[in-house]
Amino acid sequence: MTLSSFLTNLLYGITIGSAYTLIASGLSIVFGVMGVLNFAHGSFVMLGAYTGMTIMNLTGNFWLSLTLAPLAIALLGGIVEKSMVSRLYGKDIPSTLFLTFGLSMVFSNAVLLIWGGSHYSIQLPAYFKGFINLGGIYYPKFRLFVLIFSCVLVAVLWLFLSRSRWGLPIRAGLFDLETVEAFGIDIYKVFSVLFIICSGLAAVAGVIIGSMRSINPMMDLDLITIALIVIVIGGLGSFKGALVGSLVLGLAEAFGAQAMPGFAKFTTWVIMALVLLLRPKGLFSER
Amino acid sequence: MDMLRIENISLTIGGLQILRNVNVELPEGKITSIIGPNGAGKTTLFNVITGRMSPTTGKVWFKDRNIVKLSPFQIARMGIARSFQITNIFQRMSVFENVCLAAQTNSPHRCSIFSQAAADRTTSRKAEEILEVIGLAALNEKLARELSHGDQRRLEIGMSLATEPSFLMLDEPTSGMSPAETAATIDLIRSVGEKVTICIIEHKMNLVMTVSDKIIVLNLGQKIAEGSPEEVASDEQVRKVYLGTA
Amino acid sequence: MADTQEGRRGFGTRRLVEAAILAALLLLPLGSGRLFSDFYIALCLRIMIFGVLMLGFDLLAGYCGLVSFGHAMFFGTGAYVAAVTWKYFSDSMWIGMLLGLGLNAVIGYVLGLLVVRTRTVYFIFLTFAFSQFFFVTANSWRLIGGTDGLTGIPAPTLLPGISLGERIPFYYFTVALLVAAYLVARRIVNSHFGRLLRGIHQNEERVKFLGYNSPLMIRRVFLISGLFGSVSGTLMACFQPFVPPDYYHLSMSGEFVMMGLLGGMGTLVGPLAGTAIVIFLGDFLSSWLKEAWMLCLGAMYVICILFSPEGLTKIVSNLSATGLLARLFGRKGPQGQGS
Repeated sequence: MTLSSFLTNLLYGITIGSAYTLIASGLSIVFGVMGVLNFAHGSFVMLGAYTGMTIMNLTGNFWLSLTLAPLAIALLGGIVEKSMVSRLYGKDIPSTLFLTFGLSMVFSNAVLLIWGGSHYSIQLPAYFKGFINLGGIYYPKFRLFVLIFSCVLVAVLWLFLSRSRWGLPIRAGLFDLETVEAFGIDIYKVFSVLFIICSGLAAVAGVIIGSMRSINPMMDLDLITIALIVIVIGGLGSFKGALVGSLVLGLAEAFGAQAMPGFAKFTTWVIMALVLLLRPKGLFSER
Repeated sequence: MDMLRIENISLTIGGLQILRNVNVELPEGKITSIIGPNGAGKTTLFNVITGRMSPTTGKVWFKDRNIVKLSPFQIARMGIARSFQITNIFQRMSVFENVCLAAQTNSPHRCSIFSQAAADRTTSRKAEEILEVIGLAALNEKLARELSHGDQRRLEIGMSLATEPSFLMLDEPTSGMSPAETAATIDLIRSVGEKVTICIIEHKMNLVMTVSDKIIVLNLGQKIAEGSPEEVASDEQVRKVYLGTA
Repeated sequence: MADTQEGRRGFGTRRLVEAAILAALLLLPLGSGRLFSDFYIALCLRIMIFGVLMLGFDLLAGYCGLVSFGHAMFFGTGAYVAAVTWKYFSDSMWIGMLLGLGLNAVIGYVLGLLVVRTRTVYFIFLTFAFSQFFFVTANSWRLIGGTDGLTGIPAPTLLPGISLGERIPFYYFTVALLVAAYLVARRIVNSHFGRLLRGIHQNEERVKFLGYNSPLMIRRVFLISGLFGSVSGTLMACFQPFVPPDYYHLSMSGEFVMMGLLGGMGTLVGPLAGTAIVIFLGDFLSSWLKEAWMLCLGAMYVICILFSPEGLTKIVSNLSATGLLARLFGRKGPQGQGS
């Protein structure tokens, strides 16, 4: 492997890894704080992609897609949380899992009915097409944008969780709901906001991924599997774990595709199996 | 002859030293009690012996083996049985089945997929005997979760007995029991103690004094006294600890 | 399911119901074509085939408390291996089945090692992830048909001369296998091992402290439950002459979970009843709603769980087939079902 292809793969790995972080961290945090394992999380990514695509087709404006689609899906997330998920707080975990499983079935079949089964992709505006010269490496312009955009978003998320006023109850909620409630914070409002934000983030990732890869009615399962593998590797409930796990997966995909085409997906499962054998709770598990 | 010997056990968790250089000998065939104020590390010591927790340093000698690295089930198979401070039974099974599951461990069919549990007369008979001994024979068919707290504690003890241990560890066996139940348990411990080496964690001083051959006193993770009940009762350190924390 | 020894009354009732169902199954082909359409034979076959898998599933989920969201893995593998065998090597049903069992045994063993230290949440998700791996592999592996799956599978023979391509022989063969599977499952449930499983479900730690190697027990039941799934998949490959990668799909695993929950887990008969319910329901919905039927099914799952404020386990004891049956026969509903 030449240096330039190595660096290209590295960049791509980080790019896709940061997109995965947006997905996996949402899933992980929602579970860590609310005890809800949202099986429909992949559906939010998928719906974000499809919505973004439709907006792009209608308006030709990529930025509208990137902002409106996540807002729409965040709204959907809020509705789902308020009307359904919140009814099951405190119940055993298989219950919420089953609810979200049913929801994911509804969403993916709805997508199939509305948009059909063909594979689509979000058309990129002209200024995003083509390559940019980064000191000798030719890297697709759009992927560079995604890299910067996702990293910024991840950094904002990290800061939010570790420094902000809202971040503290969320992190504390990861361990002790009662204490947080005792501080007079309305925990259910926190839950709603959290769920909405995570759904929105998932949709952002959807628009991004939908612009780089194909959009199809089965992508929700692929993505929830990836998010899950990230969590297994990184540990449930930990943002750092989601970040590390996503990077590992992203890099594995980038380098794996080069080394053994067709076996790229295989490497992710092998890594997961290894982690299960050696550190069953994940690398950064906080539970 | 010591049944069990604890050698220089220390346990540190998250910067907190829970046990420090504890050295204890538990003589064979005798009843030893471990006492001490709350937080002294008594249950932790039990946990280390039974493999529930790993010590930071030190060894535990049982039957000429250092059992520190063994897993709980391996230690149980060697003949150490333990009851828990918080009742740890099978709530949705009947009293009879609870004891059967425990007694089953010594049956040649213990994990067998094919041999029928109901047909195992040896195990059933042993379970019935144990139920007689602990006085729960009449409550045979009742679901464990429907028992009173005191009866559940007795079931807990019964299950440990059913595994036919050579060394029995009881963690606050009479907690929550009425005086009558406590007295019955004292008799039970005495009669079992004729065949089995016993180690008890207890807070009830009258029980400890009447039943023990040897007493060990722990405070803040360290052994501060040991000896016969009379020796310990007159020990200066012990009095300071107990009066100090009264 | 009350974990006490079987009361004499309940025992007698159950035997009666079992005998009645067996009789109905044996007599069904006589009426088909004459009394009612032979479409019902096909429906019955589907129920029986999935029923075999559900027996194994119940051992794992109902008795041991581990709900697997990836049982499609064993089912699909049993189907694919048998199909490949019959298409290219041998036309013996037994060889196809044995090879399927062999591969699934390896899978069950290896995966058992990986998942044994996980519980509930992680277990559910992991079994899903692994079956997803199989799905993706089958979907892209052109050697076994890729997206279209394997087609043109010849009917295997039971013994030289008896082809299982004929509906009637296959029907009775399936009945025989279901009965055998049921008897084996019952035997396991009533064995020492079965008692251990229930103990592990309720209090795994205590089981360990009584001297049992609980992870080993769990790996064992996982493997056994997978073998049931394997047989089921092999039967399916005989029933329908094509094997699509959809046999590995999440919706298949999800259907298994639903069948178990609706019927009432931890009873063996419950999941069988649940299978019947879900298959009849699925048939009804798909003929009525065409493409939207899966969406409807998903919506029904959602409504089902929302209507049960105490969660899934209460649906099970309130609405489950065995719960209703028990109330019909005048006994208190089953206790301690599911988790």
